Amino acid sequence: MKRNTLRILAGAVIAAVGLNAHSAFAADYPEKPVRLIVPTAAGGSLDTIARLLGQRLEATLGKPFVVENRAGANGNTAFEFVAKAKPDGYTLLVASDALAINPSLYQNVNYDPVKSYAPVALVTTAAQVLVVNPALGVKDLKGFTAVAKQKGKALSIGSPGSGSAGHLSAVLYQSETKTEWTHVAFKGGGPAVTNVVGGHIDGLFVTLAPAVPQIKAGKLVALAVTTPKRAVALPDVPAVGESLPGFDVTNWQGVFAPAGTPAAVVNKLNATIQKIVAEPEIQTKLVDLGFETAAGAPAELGKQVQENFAKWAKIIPQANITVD
Amino acid sequence: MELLQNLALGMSVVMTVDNLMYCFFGALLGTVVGVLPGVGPVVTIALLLPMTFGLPAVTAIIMLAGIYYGAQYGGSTTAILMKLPGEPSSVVTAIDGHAMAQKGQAGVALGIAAIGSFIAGSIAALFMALFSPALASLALKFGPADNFALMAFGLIGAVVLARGDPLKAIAMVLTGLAFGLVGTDVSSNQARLSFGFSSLADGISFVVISMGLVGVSEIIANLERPEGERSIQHRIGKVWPDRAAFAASWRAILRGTGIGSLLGVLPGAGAALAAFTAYSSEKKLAKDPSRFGRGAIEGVAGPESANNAAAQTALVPLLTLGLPSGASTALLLGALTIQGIVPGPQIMDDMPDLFWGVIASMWIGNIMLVVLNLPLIGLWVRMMRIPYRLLYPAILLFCAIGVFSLSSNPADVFLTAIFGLLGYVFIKLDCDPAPLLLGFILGPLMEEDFRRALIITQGDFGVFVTRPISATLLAAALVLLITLLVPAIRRGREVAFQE
Repeated sequence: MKRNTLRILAGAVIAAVGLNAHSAFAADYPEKPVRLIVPTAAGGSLDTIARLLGQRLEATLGKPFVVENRAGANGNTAFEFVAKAKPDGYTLLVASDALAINPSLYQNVNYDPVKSYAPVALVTTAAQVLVVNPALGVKDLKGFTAVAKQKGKALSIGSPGSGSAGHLSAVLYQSETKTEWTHVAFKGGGPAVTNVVGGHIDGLFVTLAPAVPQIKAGKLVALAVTTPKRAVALPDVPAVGESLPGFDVTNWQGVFAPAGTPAAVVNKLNATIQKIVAEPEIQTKLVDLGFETAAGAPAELGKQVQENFAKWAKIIPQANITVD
Repeated sequence: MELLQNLALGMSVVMTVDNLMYCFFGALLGTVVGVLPGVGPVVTIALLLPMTFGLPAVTAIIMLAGIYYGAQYGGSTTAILMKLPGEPSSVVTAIDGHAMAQKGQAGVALGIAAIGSFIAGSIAALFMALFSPALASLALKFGPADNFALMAFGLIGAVVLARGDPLKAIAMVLTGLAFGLVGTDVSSNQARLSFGFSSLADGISFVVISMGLVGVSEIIANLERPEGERSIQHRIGKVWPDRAAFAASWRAILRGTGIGSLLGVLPGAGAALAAFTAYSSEKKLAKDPSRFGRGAIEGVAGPESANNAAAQTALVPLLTLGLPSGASTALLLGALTIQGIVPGPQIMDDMPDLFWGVIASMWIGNIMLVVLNLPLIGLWVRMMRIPYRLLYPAILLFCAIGVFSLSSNPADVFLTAIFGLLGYVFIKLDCDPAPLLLGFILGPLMEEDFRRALIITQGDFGVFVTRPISATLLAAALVLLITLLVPAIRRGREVAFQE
């Protein structure tokens, strides 16, 4: 009897200590510098988001958040690195939709976009915009589709890279409208936009940041954005979905931890990130970068990854742009 | 008069205590990281980027631009003293600059590099003040076919810049092209020549190949030689450039400035081509081209001036078109957007204080670099007194750290070592690595633009001769090739006759 009581007491003490240790872990987190792994080279917009977040996280949580660029294989190097990292909250990933797209694009990918990570927080979403050179003489999406049907392969539409969101938007648009044009891949949005402005190619699906100043200067005609709703930065430009119901290519940027990271840590990071993204100063900066803020619960990011993964797994094989 | 007003506006922006301080801080920091082999401006700017979030936009850009051109100057110092080129532009500086250092003229080479950079920066600032709007539209006129033609011209120039046998130079250019092909193809997204190594899927980094071929190989070759004949000698000789040095180099400085100012505006290959083209043209114009590669002062003055002028005019496409010329300017672009400044055609009208402020700051920054570096020359030169057995492990260590910092990939360090061995073989075969490196830089860009041009025209090769820019450049390349080959053929015959 006595022995049993002791045993129960001991059990309770162990359980209490265990619980305490757990919540203490979240309360003390972070106790040492945290690595923010970025799948692109320094200087890109995703890198800039990571550095903005890192600086504010450091100021709020009191330990350095160090941005580490591990560019390579269109992001796969970084995705695999974080998937295999210790799930203790000290290695985080700042990723974009490439995380959900690459498994359909590459034959050998050593991570699972859904199972390898604990989603922490969605940070931003972004639209692609279809722009054309004014010389093409097209004013709206209907006119564009008509020209595409008439010119066929003589119409040259660029992208910021093969397999990029701009390229995939074009692939989706072609399959929805039964058009077929010539795809010209560039290295990055800047050079691609310049080639449309210079009249060397006819048009382009691209992120907002490099295109908006040229649109405002009248050097490019914006026909439509790829998100279901119009973009804040371009309120007069319709969404593709307004004429092609269901059309949706939404880029997103979010923070992930390796699967198995304690929920308390994930929640603490999520709450902090939500607070940071709500700061007016950060909001303005993100909008200037061409993004719209979209911080939400971890589950929201998880849902986004799952939906994207399923969608591109269906479309990419149809368009036959798989690479190895 | 608008020109003077613009420059005056720029000056008024820079001439505040804060801005001058940040300008100095940036230039100083840039020089320091530039001197460390492999640790380039990219890492530094990336690390300091968050610090600038709280600064006013102009101040932030002035400081980051200071790091950028300060590092280019610091990089030349390392190239001259230790033959370790970390940027494409310092590859050619390393050739004659290091040869001068071996002759005990390191101080003269460093001095001319600083003064040439300053003169080039000053003229380029005026040039931009006069022609910025026109320069912005020049960059727009270059389509894929024209870019290809420009690079073809540059590659043939690479053969000119090599010392010795043109056949060897052509072979080196082709080897460089092949190394450049390694990595993921832009048009099809397929990995090429990567042999299944994921570290090769993104191609070979320039820093890796250039540190290995030029720097590490030099160390191997040095260790082989007896103590007295090593490339870094303990003689110091003249520390300051004298009147004779100026007399020999002022024309090269002016020509380099002209070449750099124009090529800097062309995004992509422009900035890298500037130094190479300046070197080739100095060698072509020299009365005695054989001095080149053995410490010709024009071979330092021309490329250094071109490089600095190009670094400055590259701001025109950066600010008006959002086109970065390389990794460090891509970071400047990131810094701009985070400040809410989106580069675009109206930036000169909407934000004249920013545009002209940055240009004026580059000029002030160049003065600071001269003031900062001339006294440092004595210190650098004294560094050459350090016994080589102590110096070379330190150089190798910094190289390894620098290369690793590129993308935290240990494979890059191994690759650098492999290229070091290959470079040693090239030294033994008397093959100059400079044409290989230019081929390596231009090859992938050239192929991409060649294919883009053909994809757009759906396979019509006519585009290369019907576009005026492309046709002119290709014709010039042909003429250059003929002038290169004719003497070689003639000499070949003479030799044959003598036998």
